[in-house]
Amino acid sequence: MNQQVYNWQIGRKMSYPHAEAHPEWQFAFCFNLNRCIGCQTCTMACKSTWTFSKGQEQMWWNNVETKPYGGYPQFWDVKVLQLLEEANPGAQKWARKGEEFTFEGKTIFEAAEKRVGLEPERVLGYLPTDEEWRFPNIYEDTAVSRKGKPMTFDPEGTKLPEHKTRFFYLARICNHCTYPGCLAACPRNAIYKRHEDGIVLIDQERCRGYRKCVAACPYKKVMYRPTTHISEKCIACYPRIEGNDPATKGMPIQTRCMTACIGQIRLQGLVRINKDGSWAEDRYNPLYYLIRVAKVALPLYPQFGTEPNGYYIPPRWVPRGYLRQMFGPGLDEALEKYRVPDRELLAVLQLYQRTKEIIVRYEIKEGKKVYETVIHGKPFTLYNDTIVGYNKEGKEIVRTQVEEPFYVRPDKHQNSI
Amino acid sequence: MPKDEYDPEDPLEWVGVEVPVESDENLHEMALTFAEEFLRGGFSEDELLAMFKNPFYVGPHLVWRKKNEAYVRAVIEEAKGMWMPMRTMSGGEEE
Ligand code: SF4
Ligand code: SF4
Repeated sequence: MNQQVYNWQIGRKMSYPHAEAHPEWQFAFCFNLNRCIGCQTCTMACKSTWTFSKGQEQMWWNNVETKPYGGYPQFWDVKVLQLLEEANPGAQKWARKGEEFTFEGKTIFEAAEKRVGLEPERVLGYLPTDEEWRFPNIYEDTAVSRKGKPMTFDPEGTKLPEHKTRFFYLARICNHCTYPGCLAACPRNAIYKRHEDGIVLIDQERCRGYRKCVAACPYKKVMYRPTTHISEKCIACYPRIEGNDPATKGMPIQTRCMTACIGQIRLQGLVRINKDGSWAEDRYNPLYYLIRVAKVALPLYPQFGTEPNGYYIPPRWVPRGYLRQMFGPGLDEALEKYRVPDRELLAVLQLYQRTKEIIVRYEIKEGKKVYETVIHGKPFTLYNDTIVGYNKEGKEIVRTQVEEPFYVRPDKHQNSI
Repeated sequence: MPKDEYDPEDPLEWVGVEVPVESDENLHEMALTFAEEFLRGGFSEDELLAMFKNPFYVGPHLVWRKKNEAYVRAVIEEAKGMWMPMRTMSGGEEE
């Protein structure tokens, strides 16, 4: 019997197979898609840490796909959107009431309730084929073989067609959702959300490999391991979040994929959660600021209904309609704020990848005015403010400026570390 | 979505597909985003230009090939005009 739970991202209550129960802190992250260069360093950092063993070959807990051409597994988002559209034709819409938006369509949980006649499902989803899992990034940027000759390399590859336009790289990991689809679907209750940090884990002893979670996760971030016959998923590098890495002396440290990021697009942290599931006001937590105050970062496909805890600053140049479907109705406001950032936002953006430790609070010390200018038609003043980040113990872990000094390593030291 | 819209057997799936919403405006905004982000990150004008010229940076290079050097230079100038007016100023001033 489904319960009613509140999902702030869709602005209303929705039905979910379990009653509300919330963690004390929630693992969350904010990726700036304007900066991702698709280098896949994050992907390899994860792979070489957690999924390098036999039976894990097709597993990429972190992946970066070129939108709109690619997806891992192939077409995952198009397929979920299509299933929802078929379940609720023409009605997957957002409504605006004043400043607030409400999603009036059906989430993956609500759409499943309607599916009479089929084997009962708690969550609307599908099981990707082996082929869809097998080739992350295949043909996303370039063609390598000709039609009718799949999985081959054409010697004339450079003459094959290429994209006429390029959208953006979408970096993805498990969203450690507030209302996880994977957890809802598991018939053995083998999936749980941790009280201390909201990380969603699969109990490897309880799991029997039914793959209900694989079908139910709309983001397709649970993967089946054929050698052990059980399912596995991103564990949010929990030993690092617990502070078990000797480098930080007990303080939480960001995950492998975050700290490896070349493009400095990633900021990961923990946000404080109230007993009722709402975010506790924490004005100077960088994630709270970016997501709840500045509202420049948005959830990925909020209409799915899992309340994902991964947030994105959308890429500025991509057609708005595509982005609105992907990030919801907060899009235009977020993009305007990012295009012409205000004084505080510019300073907070400096915190991206300046330290491996998790910053739970920041402080801005006002600096000198550097210049006045016009950014995209709006008057703008740049101040060289200093931003300081603190860890869970209140210790200063990073200090940087808006006008960061820039050093170039002399050629003779090129390859020395 | 019609059933024949994508074909998993097709190795050229979505490759070379022109998205109907493609426009000069989007291309300009993409080029400008790269220029603004990298200028703010400390790149010089020459380094930026080299990035647009480099075929391994698919996004920026696409702009280079679709347009030309003059176009890319103009985009970089536009970004500089917004974010680097201090090039023509000296030091900071007290608030
Ligand atoms: S992203 Fe998928 S695997 Fe991760 S918590 Fe949400 S539903 Fe579960
Ligand atoms: S390491 Fe960072 S810049 Fe590189 S692909 Fe991953 S998210 Fe993008």
